[in-house]
Amino acid sequence: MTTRDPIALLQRFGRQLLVEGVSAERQAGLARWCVALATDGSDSARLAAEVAMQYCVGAGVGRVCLADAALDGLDPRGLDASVELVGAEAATSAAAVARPPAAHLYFATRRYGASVDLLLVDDDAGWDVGASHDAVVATVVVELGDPEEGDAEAGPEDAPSVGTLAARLLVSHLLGLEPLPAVLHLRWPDGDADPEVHERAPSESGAEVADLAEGSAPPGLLAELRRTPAALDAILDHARKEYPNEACGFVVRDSDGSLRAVPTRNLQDRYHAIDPESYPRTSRTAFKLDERVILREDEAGHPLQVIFHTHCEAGAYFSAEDARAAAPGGEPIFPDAGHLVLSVMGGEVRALALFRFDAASGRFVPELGGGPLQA
Amino acid sequence: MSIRIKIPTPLRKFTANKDVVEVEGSNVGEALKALEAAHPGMWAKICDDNGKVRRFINVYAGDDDIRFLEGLATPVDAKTEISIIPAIAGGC
Repeated sequence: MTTRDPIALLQRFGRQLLVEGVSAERQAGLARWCVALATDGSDSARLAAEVAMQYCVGAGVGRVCLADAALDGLDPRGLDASVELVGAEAATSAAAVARPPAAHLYFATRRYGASVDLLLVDDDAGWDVGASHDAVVATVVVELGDPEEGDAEAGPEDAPSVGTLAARLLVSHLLGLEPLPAVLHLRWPDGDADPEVHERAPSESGAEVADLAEGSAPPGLLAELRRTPAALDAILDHARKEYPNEACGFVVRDSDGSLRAVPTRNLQDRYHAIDPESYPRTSRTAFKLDERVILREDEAGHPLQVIFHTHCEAGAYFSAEDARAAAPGGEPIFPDAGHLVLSVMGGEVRALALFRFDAASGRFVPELGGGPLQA
Repeated sequence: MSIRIKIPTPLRKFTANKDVVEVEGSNVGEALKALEAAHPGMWAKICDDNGKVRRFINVYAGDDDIRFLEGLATPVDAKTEISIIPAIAGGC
């Protein structure tokens, strides 16, 4: 379709979502984009992804990749026959998925709702979950309320709102309406209120986005782990072996510069047994590792790089409990360490994400490159 | 009796960056009170208002977490090193 043909424009967009302040011609530019959708496999995430897909197609996104078996059965072509469907089998192939330009929406469920990581990929790079960190230009995190913090509980019924919000942000960005900061947090106190927006740093000119696109900012611990199969495989094996309990451990840097994983025992049940009041959770939903093992490695000249743990039947998010423990009183214990969280569903590791403390916002933010685990 | 207490990095701002502090005491509680007297602010970081070790802090006497011994009443002697170690924990 040529974007200058008014009849074609009318056919394509006349009955669809129009974005305020954007000409039809400019909106037609969305047809060049491919949006890839993936989930952690949960029902809420699937619903959010479906709604996001509807929004994206409605706005005029030209290609949709369903990069997840949980999305089998969805077909954006039912919404608009001109949309090109890119299959899940192509998800690991940067060239096939995402003939650029492409963007990626990943939905994961957390215990009390759904969270969204939205990764935008720039025009010049192909997309693959593991290798795109240099190309990602922004990360958006949507957090629903945390009942432990006194917020109203948000549940699966909020998934459509989350899907819409994520897609709206993505489309606004693709249309160039607003340059996104490198990290944008949206906190959703309850299902009815508008989300509060917390930006890590305002980006008036998009300069921060440009810095990221040039690859200067991503520290790349997750990418380095992915390039170190011995370490990553040890973590994945431990995660499967400990299921349905949470697995934990850490990663150090050996004197030769390489990463080495150190799986450890989860001591949570021991503490729960002697003091259930202070430790109400068992190892099914919590972990406590033997910190002395880390100290011993540190004294041996192997500094801590990453602390890892699993969430069983839950998404790869950094929970309120994780944040409280990693930074009691808001001060991180290991400010330089990454926190790797793995989602284990039915005994299989489905997704992973690495979080680092961001001193500017006082929050843990995902490092770029997290998402579904590719075989 | 002089007891060595190992201080973790995040709490060294209270101890003028010292990683080990020597105090007097015959049990862990006394040693921690002596630590507070020498370096005000430490006690509140380690124990809550009820005098219980905070959930995200571990206090070791030798090789054992004092929660599995006699808590703050755990006896110590010159051979026992006390270590304050931030917990590494979390949950979904």
